[in-house]
Amino acid sequence: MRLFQVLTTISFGDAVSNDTLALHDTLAKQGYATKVFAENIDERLQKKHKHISPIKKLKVARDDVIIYHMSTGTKLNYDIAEYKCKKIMIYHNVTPPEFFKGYSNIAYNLCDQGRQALEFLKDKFDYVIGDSQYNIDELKKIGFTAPMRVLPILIPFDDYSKKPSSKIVFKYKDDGYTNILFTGRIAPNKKQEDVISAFYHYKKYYNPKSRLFLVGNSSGMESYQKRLDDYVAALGVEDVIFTGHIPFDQILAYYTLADLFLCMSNHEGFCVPVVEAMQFAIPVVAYNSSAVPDTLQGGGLVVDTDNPLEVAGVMNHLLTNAELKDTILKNQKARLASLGHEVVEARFLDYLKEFLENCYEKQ
Amino acid sequence: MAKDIIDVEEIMTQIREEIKEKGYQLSDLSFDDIELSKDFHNDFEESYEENLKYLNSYFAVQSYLPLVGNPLFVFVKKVIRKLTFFYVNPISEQQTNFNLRLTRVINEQHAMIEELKEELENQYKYIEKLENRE
Repeated sequence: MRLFQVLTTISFGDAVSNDTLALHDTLAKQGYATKVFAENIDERLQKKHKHISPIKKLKVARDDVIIYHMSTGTKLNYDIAEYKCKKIMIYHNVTPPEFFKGYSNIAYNLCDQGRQALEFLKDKFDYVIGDSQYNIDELKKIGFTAPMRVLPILIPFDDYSKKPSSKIVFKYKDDGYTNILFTGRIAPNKKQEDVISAFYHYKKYYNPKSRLFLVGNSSGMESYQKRLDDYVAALGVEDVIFTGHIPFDQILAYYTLADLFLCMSNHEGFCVPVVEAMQFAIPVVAYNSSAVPDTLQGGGLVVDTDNPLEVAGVMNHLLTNAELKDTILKNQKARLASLGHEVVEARFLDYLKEFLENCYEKQ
Repeated sequence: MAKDIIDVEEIMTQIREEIKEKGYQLSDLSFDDIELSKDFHNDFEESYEENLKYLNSYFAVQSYLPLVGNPLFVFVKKVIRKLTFFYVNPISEQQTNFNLRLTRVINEQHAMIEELKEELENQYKYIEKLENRE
């Protein structure tokens, strides 16, 4: 029996790709014969990881197992059903296409196709894993028939101990400014406009000496980035910094500098950045949407409002109330313990054991 | 490790009271007021029409580039060009021929798409008409 992970694109720094690579290491450590196959492979990964191969080289035997990472629209969503072996799906969620209307036809179509493919895939898998209960609940509504389990993304926490960029740290450190941070691709579902609006009101009414870092790549979403730039200009709000695509050490630097992490995202399948914020002991304020409360599970401050004036008030309340901040950080630390690499790895292996005993042996 | 419960509702009540007391106002400007720039083209979504025009204008591949510069170097390059003409020209002709056929196919598909779009539009109008009758 061999275990093959399959996904459409494996790229550098992507959460799904990192999860795949981490799971590969886990399987290899356990002595399983395992490889990763993808339609699109980042050259940098191809050179570093000899176990990654193009999908056309995938040949399965009946006793093999495919672990399919589903996160977007692709012909692979339909081709995967043709492989004659047992299959596990890891569902990372597909962003609802409506978010991309007007911004990107390509993204809209990909997400639309991905959502449609879920209907086709509902009876094609023997076992399903979702990054969050939110993801699992979605699949239940669609009518997935396989046993379903929740498994948080395997996060490479060791990477966060690397040295942050001293250039960025020295530029902003100890200048008396309060730094607000959001990390994530510049994308309409992540609602960077709500982060900007909340920051505008926070800066205006509570703390003029504050700064907002929006760390993320806008590639493919240039029209949305333009609209955000126009919004910042129209509001006349200063100290909003879009970093664009930056190296990892600079991302670490922004986490090091942050006093508060603000997430107003309207759709997430897991939300790795809030976990990163918790890792850096930054208190999180997050809008109650999709999988975000699942990922935080008592960590951070989850609010039901997206009213920017009220969110600004929450930000100020947290930053000026030491007791509340300590409580939040304590809760975040507790939550982090259950997201640790060994804990999630052990859970994955338990699920694999359950699959092999109940779904695999039946063949 | 157990987590401490935070009363978010109580915090929100306090904040809303504070906002009211101090007379803080939501900005009149919302994100919806910011128009999406129609002129803006995503790198990956260049105008379909512009690309079609480009294909139809530039499908032919020249087997040489204009030679300019130092007269001695130009002379040497011309000699090399003449010596290699027999090899390079058939290749560029093949490429031009391929580009021409591909451009023709794309033009035909474009015409088909336009026809289908019109037909689809007519169908939608017919369906609307039928629905209004009901």
